Amino acid sequence: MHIAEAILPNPENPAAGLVILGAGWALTAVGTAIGLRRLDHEQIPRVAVFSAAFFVVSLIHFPIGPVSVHLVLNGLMGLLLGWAAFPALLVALLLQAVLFQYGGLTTLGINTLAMAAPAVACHYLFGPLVRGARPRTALAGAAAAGATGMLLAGLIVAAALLAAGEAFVWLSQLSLAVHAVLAVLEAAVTVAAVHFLRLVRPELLRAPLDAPRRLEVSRG
Amino acid sequence: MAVQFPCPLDTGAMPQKILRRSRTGSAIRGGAAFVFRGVPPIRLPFFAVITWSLLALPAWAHRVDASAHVHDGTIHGEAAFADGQPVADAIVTARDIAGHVLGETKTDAQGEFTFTPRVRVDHFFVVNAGGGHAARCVVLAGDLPSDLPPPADRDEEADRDRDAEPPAHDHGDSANHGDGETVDHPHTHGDASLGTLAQEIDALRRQVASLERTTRFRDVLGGIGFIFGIAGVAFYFLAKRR
Repeated sequence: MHIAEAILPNPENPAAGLVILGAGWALTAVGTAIGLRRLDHEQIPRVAVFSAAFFVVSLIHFPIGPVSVHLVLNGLMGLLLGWAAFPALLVALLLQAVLFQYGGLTTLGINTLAMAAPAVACHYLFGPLVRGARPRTALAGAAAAGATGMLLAGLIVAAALLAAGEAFVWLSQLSLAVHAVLAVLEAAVTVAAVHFLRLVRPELLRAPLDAPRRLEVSRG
Repeated sequence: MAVQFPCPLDTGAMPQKILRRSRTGSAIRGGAAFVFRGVPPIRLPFFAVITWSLLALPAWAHRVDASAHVHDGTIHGEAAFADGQPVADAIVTARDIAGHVLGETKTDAQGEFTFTPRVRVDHFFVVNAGGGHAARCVVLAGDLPSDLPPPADRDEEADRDRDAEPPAHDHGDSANHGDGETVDHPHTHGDASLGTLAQEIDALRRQVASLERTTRFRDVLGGIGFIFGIAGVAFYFLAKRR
């Protein structure tokens, strides 16, 4: 999911590569500005926790068949942070680039955009569902957000590489199968997190209280 | 590596357990809710982050490392993911400094590739592992055999290079020739010393790999610290804005 600096710009087609890098930086700057403007006191620790969680989680790779993959969790991030996903991902990716040479400083813009834009999309598409009164639809929305966030990010990376003229041996059957498995995993983790939050801290999602907490409140 | 799975599943299993227990009877309901009373859920991501970072240390991949050297007039290189897994069947492109393609080759199952240089210029290799993962490495013209022809199209830059470092086959007594001699020297000593040398290098490689792992663990903790530090700075600016 991280585009390496060695690939963009492609020497065969440097102009397209530079346009993509520039566009990535510009859109990331806009998104980060919006995210920062909407930040308030309550949200800062949440953004930091998610930034740290992403920083660690996407360093952890586990094997699916012959390739190894990692979780992105940008769908969940979008549901909980909204536009603040931009600054959270920017910081996490910057640290990954500096400390581990994942991605790179020039490709930081496009990499942030590829993961944060789907997060914001999930925020608008599935946020209302997840905040809704019915637990079942909320969890369905969470599953959809988890899968959509990951798949959209993969699509943006693929589109950026294709537009830069990168010879692309990626859309193979194997890669599709791996991404399908990964989408299911992301959906499962997102559902688990949303379910848990709706039970114990629904205000994080601005959702109504689900069963156990309501009982506790009525008792005491 | 399967150990990494239980963690996300555990966080999921927890609320399900509460639900199941809360449905069984009213007496347990209060108890189930009590488990979470006074525990801010924000701690859960914290624990997840820390457990995850501890569980997953040896399993980084996706960053590609590539290296290449000259041996017997051929460029030998290898590419591996950061966890040591070889980058197999990846396309390797060689370019000169201006970006002109000098040739292309592929890595084998062990992640190794060979390339026969035809001109004596700096070779810039890009190993493309697909999906945006790639690595660069360089073989300098000075390391290539001195009997190779200089680049055919001479732009200014190439000329300047040649002036600074005259190729050995033009001037037999230049510094390059001496270089060639020291490189050729080990071959005359036979393969026995080369074998032990390879073993020593292997041992070194393992040491470097384990050193990298410990550094990365520190970097992970440092990175988390950085993020919370940045959050502190954000608090400062928000407080000023008020």
